[in-house]
Amino acid sequence: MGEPAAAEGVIQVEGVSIIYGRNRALDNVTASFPAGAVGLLGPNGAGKSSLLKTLLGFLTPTSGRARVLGIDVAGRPLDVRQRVGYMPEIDCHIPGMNAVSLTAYLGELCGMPSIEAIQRAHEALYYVGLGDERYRNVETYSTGMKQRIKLAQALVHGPRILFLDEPTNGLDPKGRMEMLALIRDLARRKGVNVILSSHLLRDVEETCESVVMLSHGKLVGQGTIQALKGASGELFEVRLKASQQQHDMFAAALAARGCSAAPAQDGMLDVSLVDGLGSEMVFSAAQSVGAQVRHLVRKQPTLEDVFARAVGEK
Amino acid sequence: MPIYDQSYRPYSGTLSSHSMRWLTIAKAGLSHYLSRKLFLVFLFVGFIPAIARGVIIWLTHQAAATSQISTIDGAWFRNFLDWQGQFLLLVCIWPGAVLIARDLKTNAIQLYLSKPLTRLDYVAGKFAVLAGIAALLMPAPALLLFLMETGLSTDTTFITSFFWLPFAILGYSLVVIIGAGLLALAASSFTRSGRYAGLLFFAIVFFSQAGGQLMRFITGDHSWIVLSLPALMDQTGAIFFGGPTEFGVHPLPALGMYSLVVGLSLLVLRRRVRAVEIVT
Repeated sequence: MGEPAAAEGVIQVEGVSIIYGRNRALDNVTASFPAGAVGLLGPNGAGKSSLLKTLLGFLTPTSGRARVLGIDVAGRPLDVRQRVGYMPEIDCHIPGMNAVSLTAYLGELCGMPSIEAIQRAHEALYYVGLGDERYRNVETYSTGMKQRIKLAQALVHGPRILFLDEPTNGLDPKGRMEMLALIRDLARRKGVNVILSSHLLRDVEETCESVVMLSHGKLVGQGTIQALKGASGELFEVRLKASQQQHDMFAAALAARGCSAAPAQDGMLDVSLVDGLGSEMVFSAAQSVGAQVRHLVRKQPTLEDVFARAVGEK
Repeated sequence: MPIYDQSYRPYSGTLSSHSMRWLTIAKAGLSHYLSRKLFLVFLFVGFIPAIARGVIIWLTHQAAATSQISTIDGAWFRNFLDWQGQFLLLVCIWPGAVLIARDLKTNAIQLYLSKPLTRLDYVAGKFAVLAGIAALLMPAPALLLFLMETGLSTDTTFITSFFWLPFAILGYSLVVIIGAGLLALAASSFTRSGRYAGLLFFAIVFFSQAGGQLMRFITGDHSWIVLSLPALMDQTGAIFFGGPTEFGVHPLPALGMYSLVVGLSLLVLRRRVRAVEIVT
């Protein structure tokens, strides 16, 4: 099986729907995941984990199909899982094993000879920062260490793609930074394609070049973070001297031009303007409702702004 | 380069074929239990009947006074396997009923199935752990006793009369281990607690026996005894070794009941052993 061309993406999802009873976990999702680090974004219940489980062949789509590295997931799930490392969201381990024996055992289950699996287990454990603790029973590990062992077992067989499901869950700030640094290193220096599923936009922004955004099981946006930020028009932080009624009228005046004003912290408004409109639009809208602009600063759009815009949040 | 300086690198070594991956699960499971002292004590206790019977065989080949202690024939071996069947039931309760429940408790099934393994590989590996232990307690000592009797015999009367015994031992053991083993794994997949799974397995065996007897008593129809799993074992012994059945179960209903037990166990395992729990 030849490798897919870079432009084609390492994962293609075509019209995939997953329906549990009356619940539509994924609704006709079509997306392409390019090589490198890609964030799979969405609030809890958006369908991120369902999509990852579909890509692993755990869930059979009600309709549509998915290909990983050009391999049809439904037809050859074992070939897909041979090339993919999966770090589950939930706490999981095999009881009675230390980190070395667990990681080596899971390497053997991927078909590695016993001695090489042990060697790789040591390497993977040192890489994720568990070198000194590798002979401890996994059941005695802290939450942070359990996250690391999950990453080590996902890496042991040298996967081409890593599926990381909420890898920073339960980590303290230092642990989170270290985990994100590992993910960045894997994607940028070790040549591993990473699909990072997270509801934490900062995590995705710090590690990924591209995102696929889901909301309520539907695709709401995809592309490089750079392009998505650029496409979101201009964003301003505004403070008005105005009554509540004038605030509402100001928002309505902006909405009439396809723009939006969302309340932010400290009485500020986040004003998002469509392409082609500049700051004069803010003054003009304020003047039209008899309000005064007391503060106006151009804001660098964050991934949060991009995501909020994609899901239509005010 | 020392391991701690290796960093991460892609794997470019060889990979074994997929068809034998279940064996990795079996090997890991067996070595886990065989390294536990309590389990070794249990195994030793399980060997005591075999040791006792070995002594009997030895005595029957000594002086004429001791040669009449016991008649070594098919019924003698069937009786030995029936006795060892008690240990099989214990093995099904521990570790049998723990094998999958423990993985459910720690969400390990998701780890297993995220590797290039099918659910069948997983179940086959777990079954092989149980079957391997059961084989140490049932067919292995029985075959050793057969070899001992053959070796100590001064003529060929025994081997010519009972050449079929190894096949009967293996066939009977296989049928009983498959039935009891799959039932134990199915019970194990029902709960996250190994203890409850063991209790569930014990309850199924106990109530099948009690239910069969009760229905026979109420209806006056002897054929209800087919519900009893111990009666099924007895009939299996009669099929492989000949001789009477204690419970008087007919072979065809027994085969039907056995198929039902195996079929239901596989169905339960198919539904319960999944990488994801689907709640609709």
